[in-house]
Amino acid sequence: MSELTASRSAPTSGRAPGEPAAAGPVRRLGVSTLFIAGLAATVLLAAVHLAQGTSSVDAADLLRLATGRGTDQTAAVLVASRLPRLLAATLVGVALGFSGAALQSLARNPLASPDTLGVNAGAYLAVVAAAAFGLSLPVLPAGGLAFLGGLAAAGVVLVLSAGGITGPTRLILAGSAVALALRALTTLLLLLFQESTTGLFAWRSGSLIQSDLDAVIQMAPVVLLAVTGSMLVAHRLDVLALGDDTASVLGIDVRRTRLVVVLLAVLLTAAAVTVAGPIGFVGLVAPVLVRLAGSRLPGVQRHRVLLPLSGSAGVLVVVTADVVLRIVLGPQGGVDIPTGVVTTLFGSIVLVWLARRYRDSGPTRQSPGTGSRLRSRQTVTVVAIAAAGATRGGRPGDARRGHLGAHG
Amino acid sequence: MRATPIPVLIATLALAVVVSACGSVEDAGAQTSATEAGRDGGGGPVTVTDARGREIALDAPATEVVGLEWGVVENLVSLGVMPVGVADVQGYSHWVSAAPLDDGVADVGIRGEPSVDALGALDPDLVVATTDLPTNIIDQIEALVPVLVLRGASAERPIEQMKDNLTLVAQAVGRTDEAAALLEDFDAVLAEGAQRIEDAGLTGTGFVMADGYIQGSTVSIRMFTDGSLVGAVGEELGLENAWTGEGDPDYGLAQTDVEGLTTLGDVEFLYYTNDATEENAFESGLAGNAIWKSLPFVVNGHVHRLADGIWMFGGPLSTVQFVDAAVDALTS
Repeated sequence: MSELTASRSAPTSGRAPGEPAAAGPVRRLGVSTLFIAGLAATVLLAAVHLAQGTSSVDAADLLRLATGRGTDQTAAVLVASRLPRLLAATLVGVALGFSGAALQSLARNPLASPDTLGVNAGAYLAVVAAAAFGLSLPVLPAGGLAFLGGLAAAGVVLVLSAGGITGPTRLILAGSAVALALRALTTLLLLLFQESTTGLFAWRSGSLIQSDLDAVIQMAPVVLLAVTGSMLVAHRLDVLALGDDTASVLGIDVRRTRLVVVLLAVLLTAAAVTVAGPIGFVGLVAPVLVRLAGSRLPGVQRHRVLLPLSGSAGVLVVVTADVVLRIVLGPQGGVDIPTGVVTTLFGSIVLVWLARRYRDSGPTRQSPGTGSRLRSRQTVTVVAIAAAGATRGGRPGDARRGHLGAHG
Repeated sequence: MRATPIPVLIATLALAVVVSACGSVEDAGAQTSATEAGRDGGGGPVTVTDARGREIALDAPATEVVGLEWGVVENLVSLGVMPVGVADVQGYSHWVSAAPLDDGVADVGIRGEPSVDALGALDPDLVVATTDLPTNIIDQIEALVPVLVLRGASAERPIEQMKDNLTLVAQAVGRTDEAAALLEDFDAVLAEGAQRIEDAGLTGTGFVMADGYIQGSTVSIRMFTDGSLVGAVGEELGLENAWTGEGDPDYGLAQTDVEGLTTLGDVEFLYYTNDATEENAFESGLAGNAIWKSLPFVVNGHVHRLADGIWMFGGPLSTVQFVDAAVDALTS
């Protein structure tokens, strides 16, 4: 990663005009430090994550297992519950991190994300619809369906907001409206087809409980493919950040690039939804964290750095949410409360903070990191609506009502 | 499945009298929620006090009744009052085999969101709902028809709540004698079941009752604590509910995942599912799972699937089905 960064020189980087050029080695050191710090934090949290669960297996048991003195039961718990949950969190984090970063760059707007653009909601609606009409789909077809649903939702949002380039307010408003409508439809299906969709209730706000590795193993290649694809078009996103006209002059096919990036982002989101349901706002928060942490590192704005960093930030967000959930509410909380509720709550706070922080400023010719200009008050309102809608979708009471409503 | 042999019922009647006598002491508090007016039956006016503390006054015992929760519907059918409308008729027919509906019972929507229009069109004497239904919906219905609201279940006193609900419904429809007979049979079956458990030397055996559902790679498992109706019935049978976690305050249900089952020892693992409406989470969802395969009760073949269509949140008839199914599973 850092080699790629260093090998690419300044002209196409997303640095704003007049920003002092950082010396290559310094930047390289900074970005790798950030990456290593993120990785170290993730590994540490992953270790804590593995020691959490509803059985009595704790860190000491796992250590004994590692040194060859563990029981079969411990091994079974590790292989059939703990690792699947951690791997699901990792896959979902990477996918949503990449997806969110790509969408934000595409919209030149840090409020864009799979959630605010309705992609999550569309993908989930497709999965619920299949279940409601009695289709019990294997992982890959379910993923394909989620992809189509997410794509359709993104399409509607982009059409409603004229591609999202007319202004962030319109994009977010269109996205939130579509997402709310889709969620309402989803709720309708869940209510009308209670019995065939019982399992989806618990899954509705994004649950990381995995009873086998099938979903993760089958979705991993899809995510890997889309991640590779994103890295291949990363330099085009750098150029696109200079504005459509400039990008065209520099020989980039703007329309095609947009199409490819949207397809990749939707594919990533669909993969995440297929594994764990709609885990909210990871795609929004992860790139923001990266930009925040790397605000003094110009190299971070380059997509070959930004995308993987967002991916690892995504993992960090999901794993942290899952760890915190179970530290605060105990192992039972990790079963009762979907992890997506935690990420959504966190995400809503970030969303409101973002909206308040960014101020109105000039036209769009800026680097992606600083490229958000919101008409403050108006946007705060819109964002508050979006956040309210998002948290509404993740209310734990919904899941509970489901479990009683369907059987009790 | 089975039908309780009548001679056995008679043979255990003596014991049943003792059990029901104990039950009526515990019932005393709840009985006060209904006024004496309902006891007269016949054709006179009836006043009952429901779970909201509201008095429902009817000119005569209700005959045209709509049930919005399946336990309530089962109560009505078992008392000999075929409801004119039921929420989710098809679901009821899959899940509640103890008290089948006649053809032609109107479907009034789904349990969580009944159609107020359909209710209005039926124009029944009485709608029986539970506190599971949101109050705003109850209010909407009440603007059209009298509504008797029961507490669906209580984890504090699960068996007593089930009995109270039957009694209260019976008062509203003027069938208190039928209710008393049903409860007597129920107590007899419970006593007979406990006797069979004792005869088999199983008293004190650890058991759990569960159901589960599957979505993709996620299997959710729901445990019936001793606050649940069938969990409490298991204890009455002389078994020991091995699931010690806390459930919700009404139905006494607790969520867990497959890993959570490792806290159980070699218990008798009972579960139910429904082939007509869902995938079997324990067979297709967990069959290949390393934890599941390592659990002592799976290794030792102590997993018992109860017959489909036994409603675990029902009235005496469904609970009798559970008693027989559970005792058969453990003693065979």
